[in-house]
Amino acid sequence: MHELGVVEGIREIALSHARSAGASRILSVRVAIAESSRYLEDALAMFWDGVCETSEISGAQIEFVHVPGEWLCLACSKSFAGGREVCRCPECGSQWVKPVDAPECYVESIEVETSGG
Amino acid sequence: MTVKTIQVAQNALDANREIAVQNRAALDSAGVVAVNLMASPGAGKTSLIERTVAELKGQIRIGMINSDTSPAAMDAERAERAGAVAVHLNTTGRCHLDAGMIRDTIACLPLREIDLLFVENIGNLVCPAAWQLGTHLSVLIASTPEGDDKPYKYPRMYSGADALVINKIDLLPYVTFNLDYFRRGVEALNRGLRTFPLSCRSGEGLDRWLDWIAFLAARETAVLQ
Repeated sequence: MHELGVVEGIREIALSHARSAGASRILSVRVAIAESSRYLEDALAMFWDGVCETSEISGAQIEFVHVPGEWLCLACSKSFAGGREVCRCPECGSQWVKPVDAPECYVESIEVETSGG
Repeated sequence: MTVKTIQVAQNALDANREIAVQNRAALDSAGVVAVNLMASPGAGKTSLIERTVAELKGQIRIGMINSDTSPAAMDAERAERAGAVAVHLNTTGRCHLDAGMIRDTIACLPLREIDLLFVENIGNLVCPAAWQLGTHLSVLIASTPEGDDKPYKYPRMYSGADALVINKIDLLPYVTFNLDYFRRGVEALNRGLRTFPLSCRSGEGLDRWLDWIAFLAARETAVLQ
């Protein structure tokens, strides 16, 4: 259920940027997820409508793009790219691997409607 | 009407982080040092708080925010009986604490009457690590019956801790827990991590922990991380 809090964070960030730009409506929010992230796209999408229901962002679409995940092998110190399915270091075969600390999920851009020309 | 795209490039957790910064400022201005206690269910979070409160009674004033996914408030009641100012936070199913929950909860506490605040997070080794609360330090509790493989399975939790307690060391003769293997895993993730092997039940190793807690409570918050 940790996706719920992530979705609330996405909503707040989108709203704050839309307000600064003087937008009248948010049409869509583009979210990037690292392929090594703990957050699942399906679960984020599932919470989106409910979390936005009563706010100014209601009706906005959420779109996802995927960015490569980065891993570090703690046995041989090699870093390598991979998604959630990673279970071994491609170099030494150790299972002692961890995702590199990087944002797992970020708001890339928002599409808004403004009343100006 | 014009449609335009605004580039944002902001971490989804930034909204939480901003509230965490405000929480830290509120704690600092009240002179409270706050510790985020994280562990799996049953590792001994409440037992450690209970022992700490009882042992340091009269020396430092301890507050406790207990969180659980249900209304069951027995952990907060245990801390209260030991002498803490305690409040129960029901996350209604959410699997970790976030900064907004802490902001709302510290508003219910008499912060001026507290030197040190324990925030007992939800028993979970996965997502609490990602959510800043505004506390000054994160302490992770491992316990010997859980097994020695946890640093290998939950690296994010171990790499983010400021201190580690290994609880239930009185059970070492009865459980499979290779302390060297465990420590090697921890060391690779978090070199030089301050570690307190102890037993809340027998009291072994507790003195060093209590000294450290008393030291933290006495420090000016500005010098903490």
